[in-house]
Amino acid sequence: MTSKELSLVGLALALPVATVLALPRLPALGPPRPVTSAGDTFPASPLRFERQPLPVANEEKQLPLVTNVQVVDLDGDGTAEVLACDALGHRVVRFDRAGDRWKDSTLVDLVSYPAHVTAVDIDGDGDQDLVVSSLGDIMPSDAVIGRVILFEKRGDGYERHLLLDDVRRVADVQPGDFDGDGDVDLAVAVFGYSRGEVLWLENRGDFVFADHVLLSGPGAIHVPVADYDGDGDLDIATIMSQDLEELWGFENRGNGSFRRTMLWRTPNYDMGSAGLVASDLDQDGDVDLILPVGDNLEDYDAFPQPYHGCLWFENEGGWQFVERRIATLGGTYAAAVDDLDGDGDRDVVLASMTNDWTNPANASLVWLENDGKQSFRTWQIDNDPIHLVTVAAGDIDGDGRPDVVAGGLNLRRPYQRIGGTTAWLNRGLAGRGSTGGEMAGGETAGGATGRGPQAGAIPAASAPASDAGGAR
Amino acid sequence: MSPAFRRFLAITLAIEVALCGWLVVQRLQRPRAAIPAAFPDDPLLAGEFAALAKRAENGGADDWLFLGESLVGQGCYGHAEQAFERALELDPLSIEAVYGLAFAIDRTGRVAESTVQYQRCLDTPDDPRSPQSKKPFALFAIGKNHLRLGDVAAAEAAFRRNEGFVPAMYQLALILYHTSRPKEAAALLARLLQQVPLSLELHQLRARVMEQLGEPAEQFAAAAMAERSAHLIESYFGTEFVRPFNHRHGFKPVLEAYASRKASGPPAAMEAELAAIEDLVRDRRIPQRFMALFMRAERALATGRPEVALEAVRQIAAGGDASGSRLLVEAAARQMQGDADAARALRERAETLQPSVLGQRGLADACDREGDAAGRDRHRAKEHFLAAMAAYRSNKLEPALELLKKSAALVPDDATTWFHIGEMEYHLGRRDAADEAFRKALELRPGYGRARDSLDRRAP
Repeated sequence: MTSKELSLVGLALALPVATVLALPRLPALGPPRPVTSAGDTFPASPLRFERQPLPVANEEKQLPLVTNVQVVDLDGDGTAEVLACDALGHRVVRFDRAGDRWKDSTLVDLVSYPAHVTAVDIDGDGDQDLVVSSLGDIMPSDAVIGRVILFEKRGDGYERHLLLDDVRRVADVQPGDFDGDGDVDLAVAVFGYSRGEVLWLENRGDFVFADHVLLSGPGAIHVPVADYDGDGDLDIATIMSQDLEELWGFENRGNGSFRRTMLWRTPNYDMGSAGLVASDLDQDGDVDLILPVGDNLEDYDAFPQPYHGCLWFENEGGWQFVERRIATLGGTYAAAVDDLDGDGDRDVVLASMTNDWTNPANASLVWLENDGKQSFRTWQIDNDPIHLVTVAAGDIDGDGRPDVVAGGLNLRRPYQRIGGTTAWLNRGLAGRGSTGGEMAGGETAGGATGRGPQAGAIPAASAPASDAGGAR
Repeated sequence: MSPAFRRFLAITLAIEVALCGWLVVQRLQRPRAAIPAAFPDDPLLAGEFAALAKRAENGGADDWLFLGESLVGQGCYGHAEQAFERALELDPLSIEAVYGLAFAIDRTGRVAESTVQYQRCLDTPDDPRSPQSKKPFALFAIGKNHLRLGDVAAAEAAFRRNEGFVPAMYQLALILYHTSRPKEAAALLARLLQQVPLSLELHQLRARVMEQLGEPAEQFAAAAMAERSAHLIESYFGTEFVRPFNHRHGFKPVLEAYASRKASGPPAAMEAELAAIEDLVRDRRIPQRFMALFMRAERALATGRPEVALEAVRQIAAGGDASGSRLLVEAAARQMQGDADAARALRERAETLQPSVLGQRGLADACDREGDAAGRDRHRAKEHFLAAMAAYRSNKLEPALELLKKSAALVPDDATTWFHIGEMEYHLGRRDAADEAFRKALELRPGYGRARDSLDRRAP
């Protein structure tokens, strides 16, 4: 056998051995498969908005937890201010516009995780008091830690009155004279976690209130008050969103007596109702309800679902409300209503907490343009900041156009594009002047309640109870 | 060498080259693992996931499964889906991979598509290494998916197939209630309550069912039971599924390791561990930075360095945190510095924010030391009240009642305390004593709705 032949034999023996030895060391060079992404992006708004952060001191070092924003003329001077519930600082902050800048001041403090602030003259002395809903914990909790605290306006400051405790996490309080005796009573949403309730508090004078249970069950986010049946007295509505997803109406029967009716429910318990706004969206003379849906804080890392967005419940009279979907937006958490483009109909602003933030183009704030026949087109206002859980509309720069204010709840990844309270000043359509919007704030809903794998800015109704963060 | 052998050798070599070449190409063509390009919130994750990806690319089905689970734990559902699919290509009978794939698809909002994969779980044999079958969970998820799509009949059928799985039976009872079949719901709930007597959800639903049946006394009794029932029935298993994977990588295990050993570990080693954590999170705008600051303050207090604790508190406050936890840390540091007045004021603020048993005890003791008997009694009464409520909600009625009575002895005009005394007596079957306490609560606070309702609506 020649040496060449020997080499061939050696090669024949070595090749399989070498291959077997080499195979595990070979790198993977095949392309990775495409990865599913989702979330919603929309065409840029033809209405121009100028983003303007409303910062508090040291905000650049913080992870702000803004659970509620309001546009109100608190001091009656004809200029609207912005109020924000700062759950990180356990306080209510007021922002005043001074030229092109904003100045922040603490209105009230030592409120454990404020979820909502309502300005109302509760004692009839001509100034605006503050009623604050205190969650007690922004993370999912069934503990009895909620409160309703009234801050009575006294001179330059506020005097604290505890109106309700020994209840679970309180997400919202709204005023109204429910028993027709001329004073201001309160509707209360005790969100809780596994347990909760809806109450009304009868004003008996001298800051004493008697509690009346309207409904037991967890997950009441908001309690918008309006005359839904047009009979001249004030009724209450609420959305229950923790274990079940139910829309309730409480018909005022006079003298503080209510009859409750389930107006709507869905078998999709994962729908993620996140707030409730009362507004006559179609301007037919009765009050409709607008429901932002998209709370899925039950997951450590929430992701948009196809049913997230906004539902409009058209009031057809006799406590009949017809459901209509007017938008799809992943992680929708809050809604506000106003005539943004000044064309005489009512538009809607939506804020998203959990769109798919891995795509930086996805929307965190959109508005729905009403064509006058309640057919809506979605326009993107911004993609920054993200994690928005509360939104309000109103003219805050005095130009006659309704602006938008939103708040961010930075409880979850990604900790990017972080914002606290942010305004978007409405600069109108290109080449147009004032749209003649109303001076006062529009109708709003949204806020953090911590549902958590569950927690709802609202108290993230559904967050993982341990460490993920998130109120329901 | 004979010509025949030469021919044989040539053919053998040709076959070998073809075969080995094919193997090499196949090997090179195997897919790279898809992982996110960056993990901006946790610098530890990039390295850990690069290593996991390499291990999967060079490994087998279990490595891809591990990668998929780790990706789910970081919320990277789309990437996880690819890893689970690869695991299934390598081991089509991996029920863990099928379940993971179903879950990843489910969370990205493809409801019907995920149902197909959950269904595949039912047809895949269980993993004998796993202590728990995946099938009841998959069948439960199928039922929930039908509900998400509005198909109540299909959901009911899925839940009925899951007999023996209490969460599925609870969902079935909900459907029965919502579809106006209260008698069937009541029977099912009675059966389930024998299995789980202190289930919050079962009692809550029973209260609704009893209302539907027009049984107000039973409704009230069920609602009262709900208040002292602590067992929760899961209605969503995603959190439980993800939790172990969520804690597997990045900051979390590092922080957890420190927390578990901070009291028992060697001081020098723990100091070094904490310093390493601080280096990792420094100047980042992430929650872990503030956790590390609290850890630093706690460590400083434990080692008698109040000035270090106060510097940590200063940074926490600069981060906007005005929580009771921050106030209590600051109070402890001030106390350590001998400034008892400042410490007490801080504790008072913390308790105004959120009362707690420990906080009230501390304030009662401070008042006692200062000879403030009224303040001491007020805080001690609150301490007893809060402890009583914790006992009550753990279904410990007698200890709760005893604590409430102690509280009432110290502050006899607190209507809330008397209301809860009434509740305890009611649950202990002493109706007259309960009524007396409810009446006392109403006398102290005439608008006390819950006390009034308890007198009006309690079971005969």
